[in-house]
Amino acid sequence: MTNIIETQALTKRFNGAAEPAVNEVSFAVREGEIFSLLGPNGAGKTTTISMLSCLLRPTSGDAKVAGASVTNAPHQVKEVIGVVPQEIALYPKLSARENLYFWGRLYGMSGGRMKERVEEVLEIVGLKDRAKDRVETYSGGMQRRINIGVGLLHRPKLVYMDEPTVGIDPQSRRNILDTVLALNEQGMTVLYTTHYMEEAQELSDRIGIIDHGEMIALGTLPELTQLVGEQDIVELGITEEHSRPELIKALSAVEGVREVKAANGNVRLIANDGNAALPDLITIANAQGARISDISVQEPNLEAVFLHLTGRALRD
Amino acid sequence: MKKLLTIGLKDLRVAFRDRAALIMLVAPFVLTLAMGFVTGSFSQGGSGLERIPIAVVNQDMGDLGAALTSWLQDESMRDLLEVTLLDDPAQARREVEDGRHSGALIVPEEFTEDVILNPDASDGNGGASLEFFTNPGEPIRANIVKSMIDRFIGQVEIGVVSSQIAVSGLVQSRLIQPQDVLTVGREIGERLVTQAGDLSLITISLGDIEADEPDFNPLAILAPSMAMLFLMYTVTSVGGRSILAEREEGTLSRMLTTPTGTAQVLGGKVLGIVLIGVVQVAILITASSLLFQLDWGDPLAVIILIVAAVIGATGWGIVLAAFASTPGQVSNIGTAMMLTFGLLGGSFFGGVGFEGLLGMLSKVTPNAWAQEGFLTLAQGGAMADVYEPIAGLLLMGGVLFAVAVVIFRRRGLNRS
Repeated sequence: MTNIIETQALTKRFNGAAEPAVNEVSFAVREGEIFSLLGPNGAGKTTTISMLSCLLRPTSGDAKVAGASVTNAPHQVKEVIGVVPQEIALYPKLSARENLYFWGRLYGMSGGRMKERVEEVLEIVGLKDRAKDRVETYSGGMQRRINIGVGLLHRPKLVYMDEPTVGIDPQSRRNILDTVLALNEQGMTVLYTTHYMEEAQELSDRIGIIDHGEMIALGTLPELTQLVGEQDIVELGITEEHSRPELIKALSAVEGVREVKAANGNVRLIANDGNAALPDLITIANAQGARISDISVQEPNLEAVFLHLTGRALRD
Repeated sequence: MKKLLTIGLKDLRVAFRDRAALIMLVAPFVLTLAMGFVTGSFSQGGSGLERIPIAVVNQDMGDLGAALTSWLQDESMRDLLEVTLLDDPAQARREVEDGRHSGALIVPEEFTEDVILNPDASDGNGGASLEFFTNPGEPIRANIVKSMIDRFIGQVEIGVVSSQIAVSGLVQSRLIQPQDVLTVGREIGERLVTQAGDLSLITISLGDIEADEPDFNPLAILAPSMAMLFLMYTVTSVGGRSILAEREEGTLSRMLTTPTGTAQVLGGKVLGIVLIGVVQVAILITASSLLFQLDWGDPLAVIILIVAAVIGATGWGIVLAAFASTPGQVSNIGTAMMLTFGLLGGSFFGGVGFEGLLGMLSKVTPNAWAQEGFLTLAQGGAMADVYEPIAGLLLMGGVLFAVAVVIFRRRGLNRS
């Protein structure tokens, strides 16, 4: 399978910043796959997408999109990509159809081809009935859907979606995730950024985990979860006033417990077998006078991988 | 070019759907419409000011009152004034209060005597004075009549001073004896008074309205002033602001992810501002031509001047957008710029600009150039007469665009 994106030590350092926003990131996206960049807010996902969209010039390194360099041939790159930005980049005073026509013209479309494609896109995002209404009258979810539609207008080979589900209701989120899967089934390559582990798990063929501007892991979901082995995450709801160092030390001594960390009213542990360790954990907590309000055991997932790699939760 | 037009027309469409922007587009027309009502231009077909009805009560026993009354009723004044002669000052005042007249002029009994023998009216001990009662609801009409009377009085005062100098000279050269001063002075004074009443000595001039040009419409001065004042606001606070607003809302970035170059995006934004400005001025010109029969002059020259004025003004809008960081900054600075340019360029004074250093400074404003051009065309000037303002405005726009492009290149259109 050929690579549609190849980055080589892609770096962006903003003026005056102590650390680079993106630091020597190298990865490849294969044609036809959904590739997710997963990381917390501020990890460097949007900066990476901006460089791949030719909006930001890399400080060093380069990237090739469909064989064209983002630094030397930005116009060629822009011909093949569709970009769905994180913010709703539409004109609220114009209707959905007027917005699509405007952006279509900027993609060089015209005439019958554009008319046909606008109607198709309205169908894809499920807003044909509201096409004449001004975007300002739409709900947040509907605006997000038109925002995606704009990026699909010119049938790009590759579409970048930068956190397209931020701040919307569950129904609209479901609709967007289904749209992404449908587009991929039609052969479109998708570069998707998110800080929602569940979205990355559900959608992606491969996932790159990015943190503090660096790619810290890359692979398929099974490959990534292998990094933490067959370990479970156990979360105990214990208030911070009771999460004393003595308690953390005592919990760490339980057999099979690998890591213990207290944060945001929870004590999070990685254990070889969460269910087996649970009775001892509860006994110790009771003995230390810590009241447990909630207990959960999670099988290996991307959250565990991120915790394992960074010592922090994705949402911390 | 197609993409430039796409972006420009999109901006025009968005402006027409934005209530605040729409208000700014029609504001100069509404203001001019109001002025049209005030000056009476609206109800009149063809000429500018409606005839102003005034009552005149001449109680003067000498020649000066009669000369003044006669002058106000002269043929050359017929297009401006509708004079009704009355005998009773109280009746004249009542008729002004009732709204039948815009003003009432009372010439007192001893007017001629006081002008000639006791001309120093400002010493508080009497002197010559006229009474002029006005209708507070019609300040502009009252001011027009008052300034006409002032003009007459000015001529009379020249005559009086001349007679004083003449008498003084005669005494010093011992051609007359001091005891004859009163007699000779009265004689010279009466002759000069008669001359003051001679219409050939008096030109009716109220600003730019002259007796020999009764068809000139004062709106021809007011309308371009209003147009330029609001145009400056539109190109900065609506136009320049839209670049910053698009940057904030992410649409500018999105445009730059399409196969559209930075120059095309900037060019499209500039075209949008120019289109909005042209529409604004065109609304004013078309509506004032249709409603007030205001003759703006040679249509082709007017169109070219409009485009040049908008380009000159847009240059300032783009420079402002290039320097500013937020839409709020553009709005604040844009408003200040509109007011400063309005003052400096004479938009607040019916197009009358400054002289000297301030006059030179006013040439940095599109207001001064454009108003000069519009006035020239309204007074019957041809295209060749407005080459200078057109060139000035285009040069201004060109230089400012170049400055803006340099700044945008240095700082980035998308400022990322």
